[in-house]
Amino acid sequence: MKPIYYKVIILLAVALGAGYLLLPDPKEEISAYLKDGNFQEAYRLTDRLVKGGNRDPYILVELAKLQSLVGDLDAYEETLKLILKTDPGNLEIHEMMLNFYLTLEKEDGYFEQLDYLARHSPDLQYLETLIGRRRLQGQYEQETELLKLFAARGEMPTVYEQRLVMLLLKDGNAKEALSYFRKMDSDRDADQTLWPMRAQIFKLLLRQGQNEEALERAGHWLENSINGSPLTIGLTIMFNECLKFGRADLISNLSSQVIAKHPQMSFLASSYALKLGNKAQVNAYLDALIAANYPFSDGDAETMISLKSTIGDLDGAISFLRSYGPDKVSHDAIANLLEDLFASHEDVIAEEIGHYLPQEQLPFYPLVASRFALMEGNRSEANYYFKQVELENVTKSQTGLWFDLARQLLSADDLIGLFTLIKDLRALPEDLLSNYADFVRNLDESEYMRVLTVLGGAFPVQGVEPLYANDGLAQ
Amino acid sequence: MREVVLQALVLFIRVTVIVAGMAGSCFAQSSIAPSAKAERFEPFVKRTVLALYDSRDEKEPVDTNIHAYLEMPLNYLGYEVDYHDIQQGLPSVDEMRDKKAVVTWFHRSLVNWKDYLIWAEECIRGGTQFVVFSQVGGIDSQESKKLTNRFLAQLGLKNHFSFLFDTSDAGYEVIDRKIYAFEREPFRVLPNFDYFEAISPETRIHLSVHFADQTGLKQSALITTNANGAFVHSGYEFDYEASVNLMQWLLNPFELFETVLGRHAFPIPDTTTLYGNRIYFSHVDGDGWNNVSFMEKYKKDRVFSSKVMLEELIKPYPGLPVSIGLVTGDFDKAIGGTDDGLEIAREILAQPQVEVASHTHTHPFDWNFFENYDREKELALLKKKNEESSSAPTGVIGSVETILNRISPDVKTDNYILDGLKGALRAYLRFPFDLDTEIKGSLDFATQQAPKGKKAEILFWSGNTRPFEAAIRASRLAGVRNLNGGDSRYDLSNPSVIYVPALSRVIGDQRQIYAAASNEETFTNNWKGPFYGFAALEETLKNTEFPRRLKPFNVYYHSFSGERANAIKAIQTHLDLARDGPYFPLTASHYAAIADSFFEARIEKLGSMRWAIHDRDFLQTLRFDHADELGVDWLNSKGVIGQNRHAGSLYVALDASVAVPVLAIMKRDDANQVVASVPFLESSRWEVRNVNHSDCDTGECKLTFEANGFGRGEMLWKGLPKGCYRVVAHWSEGAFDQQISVGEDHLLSVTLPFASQRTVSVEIHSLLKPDRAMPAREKVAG
Repeated sequence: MKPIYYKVIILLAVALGAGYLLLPDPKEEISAYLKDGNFQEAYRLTDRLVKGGNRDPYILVELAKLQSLVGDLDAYEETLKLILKTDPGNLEIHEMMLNFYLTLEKEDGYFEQLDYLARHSPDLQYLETLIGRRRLQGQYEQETELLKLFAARGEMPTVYEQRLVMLLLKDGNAKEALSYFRKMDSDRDADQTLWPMRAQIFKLLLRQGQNEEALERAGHWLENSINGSPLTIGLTIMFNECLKFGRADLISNLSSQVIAKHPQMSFLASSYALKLGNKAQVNAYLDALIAANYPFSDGDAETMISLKSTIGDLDGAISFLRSYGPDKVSHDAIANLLEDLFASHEDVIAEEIGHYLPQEQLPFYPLVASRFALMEGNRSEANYYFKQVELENVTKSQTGLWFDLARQLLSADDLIGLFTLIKDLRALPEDLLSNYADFVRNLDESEYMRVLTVLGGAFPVQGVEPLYANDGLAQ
Repeated sequence: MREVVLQALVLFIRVTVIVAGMAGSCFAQSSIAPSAKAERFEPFVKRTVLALYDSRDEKEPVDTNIHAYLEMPLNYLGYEVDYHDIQQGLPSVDEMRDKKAVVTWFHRSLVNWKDYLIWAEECIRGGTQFVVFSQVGGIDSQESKKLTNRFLAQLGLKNHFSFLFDTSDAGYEVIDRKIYAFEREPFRVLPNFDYFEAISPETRIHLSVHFADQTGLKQSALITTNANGAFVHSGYEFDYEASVNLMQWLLNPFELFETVLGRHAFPIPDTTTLYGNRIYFSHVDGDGWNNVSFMEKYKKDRVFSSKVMLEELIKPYPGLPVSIGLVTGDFDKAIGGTDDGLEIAREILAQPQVEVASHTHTHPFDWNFFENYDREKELALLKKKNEESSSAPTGVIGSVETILNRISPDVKTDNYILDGLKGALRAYLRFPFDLDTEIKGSLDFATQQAPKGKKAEILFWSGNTRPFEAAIRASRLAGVRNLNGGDSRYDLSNPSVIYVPALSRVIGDQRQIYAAASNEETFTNNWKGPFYGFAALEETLKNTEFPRRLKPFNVYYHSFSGERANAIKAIQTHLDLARDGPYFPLTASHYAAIADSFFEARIEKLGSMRWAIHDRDFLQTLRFDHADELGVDWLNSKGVIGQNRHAGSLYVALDASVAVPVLAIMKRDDANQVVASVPFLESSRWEVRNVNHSDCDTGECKLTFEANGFGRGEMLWKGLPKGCYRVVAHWSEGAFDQQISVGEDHLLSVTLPFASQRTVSVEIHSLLKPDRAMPAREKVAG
């Protein structure tokens, strides 16, 4: 090649380069249009550039924004997809697409983008939203998987921790649930949602024989609890499990701890001490409250009277009732006290306390009404009220009074007849069956055997609370 | 004869004594008219359900769960809901007389629990059904427990008053998927529950859970029905997910109510459909009337958004009615308005398809404040707001103004304008609030801007759309319908039928009709953008069409949409759909009138499948659901002109010219045999009335009727014998003549030309052979 050609080529190249440098930068041009509010020109230019093959991300994004501005929604979506083709991990574009689908309420596109962002964006809000959505839809497998993903990213909010553990437990993945729980558990004060989960973990640990860990964790939870009210459900579940496993010591231990922090929990502790047959402990818990001038609510007062009465401290119950004010407690509380007084044959005091129960309320407490009628010598009225009580509905605390009345008002055959109508004696309280077994022992051998079969080794059980009473159910 | 008179006298005295002496007792009601007798003496179908609520927890009916979640399904099934506050005592005999059922959703024990439980049991014994959601109402006492269980026994249940704290070992026993798992799957981890035992073989269990206690395995019935009603346990009816602030039903309320109240008990007055087509209407709140548009095409000339609306959304759609609600204060200089936009208002209202409406005078935002109006308080708030706004950065104020701004920037300096500011009570505060100016004054002003012969027909509620009783009454006294509120949506952001509201809201003795869809504000983040968001109305439109047509197609927007190109485009998409699709276009006041008529209509039962419809006024559609096997019994019906099917429902069209039509239905096989020779309307975009036809089985088949409506009169007739027909139509300014052939499908499709809403007389008659003199295509004159 001749040197002249080289010169020409070089000159041309220089000219082209200079021309290129002198031409306005399209980005600057677009920016200027946008600054002036000349969207139409900006749109025209970006559209032309992209159609001409320009794939500069800045130009593509500006085009998309302009398409959105004028409402060319299909084109907007296509441009965003085009950007993602070359840059699939561009989170900003995924966010734009997510907002686009959300604004247009397009479910499929929205969830596709949300899923991507939940898994790839450092911003946890996407993961949180997806978890919430899946939970709302009842898609628990996906929720569990996403909660695990959240757990892997860092500290879980309390509500997620509870959900993950409860879902894993429900699915039978106890080991995994425990593993997550151990990683996430802290001693912080917990609310109503967290305590049931803690209780389930406590149950699990007991069932796996890891009593020490159960007690240690529970101890920490109680120590750090600030608000006492959310504890009731959790402790009830925990205490029931202890009862199942015959671990009175754990109940006693935890009771002491919780009462020290939250005196109002004395009532719950008392009810479990009662189930364990430890009446002295019940009395100690209750007397401590009185000694500490505990501010009893009406509900507390009723529980106090009921517990005192049930453990046989009738004087204590009456004294408390009088000092608190009989007009402030419910008719139920007074009637229950009367039932216990009658069962203990304290008819004179019962008559006195009976004045606190309005006459028109008596029909709602037929055992009490029957007893009063009998005291007045009105046998037919006593009979009438007694018959209002269906045997299946006699509660444990009513057993004594019911049997007293039954023996006074019914013949032996009639009394046995009432029981023979009950096909499944397991529906009746054990105290009642125990009384009945005593009664029927020398009267009807086959019926006696039927009762014994139900009672099994628990007979005679008078005065002893069954360890497994009221599993999970609170009245 | 003497005996009859004597018996009547005894009955009269009995009734008088019972009514006078036992007000408040359902027993009295049942003594007078036990259900069986009621059928004989009161042949009108009972379509009212009484909602009892406790104002300690839910202040007004609009605040109740029943209004929020149950009233829409009940309306859909044809029932009106009356509200009664249990704090005001128990409903009287009069209130119970026409009630089909009572529905309760108490959140705690009632103060008058004893009276209530006794009354409720008596009501059930007297034939009133009870649907109990959540708490029954009793307290924790032996007496209450007994009364509760006496009441529940009527529903086939017993409450053991045992609360299961630990549900970890509990599981589902029965899941009736027809009634349960409606919008989502059941809970994986069960919420706590009480032990409710089904005590009767008649109790149908739709959801139950099993659990174990010391006496063995138990089953708690959480959702049940029987002949006396239903029970729905708290916590199992729907789910609220706090992290996304969204709700979904677990229970299917439509199926529950249909199971309890009965299927095909009566033809359901329908407010979604006319002449076989889904109703379409559009209305505009005049907010932002004088705002300058940002659109490229208009911004240079500082064109108002209202003018853009006229050019882009009204003029190009002459066949689609639109009701324009002016905020008349916008034109009142004395309070800070401007008359710049008045000419535009006049031009818009002069368009033939535009209905005149008011969107109040000063645009109240918080209606509650004005019920017991205190000017001093208002001025104090105004002062506070002005201080806040003057200290706020310009940018913020600017953006706030944009939200609802209808005032040009020049007059914004007026200290008596609080437009768009968060917490503002109304837009124009120059003068004290005056209800008459707000309602009648604004309607009169709107009428004055319209051409002669047109007047304001409807008022659109502003702001929080919770007008007080006197305000609604004022609109009724002014002789107009009222609309707005409800914010109906059913889409990704509102993923449940829960977000579709009832037909109306009742306050005192007044009724506010809700709009049938939400407006562009809720789709655009309160007009902060993206402004194309209103395009998403399409999703709500689809979801309220299938599997049930729950609402009409309502395009509801504000004048300020004219500011943005993409907002205009979104609305145009909906208008295109309405113009080209199978809809029945009408005005907003017509829709509100239909909704009002829903509550007025009375249905008289004439036989097991035959009813007379009284007082239906503007309501011309009756519906049967699950009606694949049902059809109109044309020979035993009167004033019934059409039928159409959608999503398993049968929609029956009535002739507006017949005062008391009679509808008879029959099994479809039988009906099909009949329809072959009876012409009936399948669908129409126009109202069709005064329909008469000859016996098409013999001789010439001739059909005459009158029709009118917006746009083109597309209609489809069915049941015409095969052959050639001539369609001739006349109206005041024109005529139409066309030959159409009917084939094996017995369908005759005709489109009457644009007739500017004039009444058109139409005759369709069969030809022995095609008239050669007539061209096959239509001939239009005028």
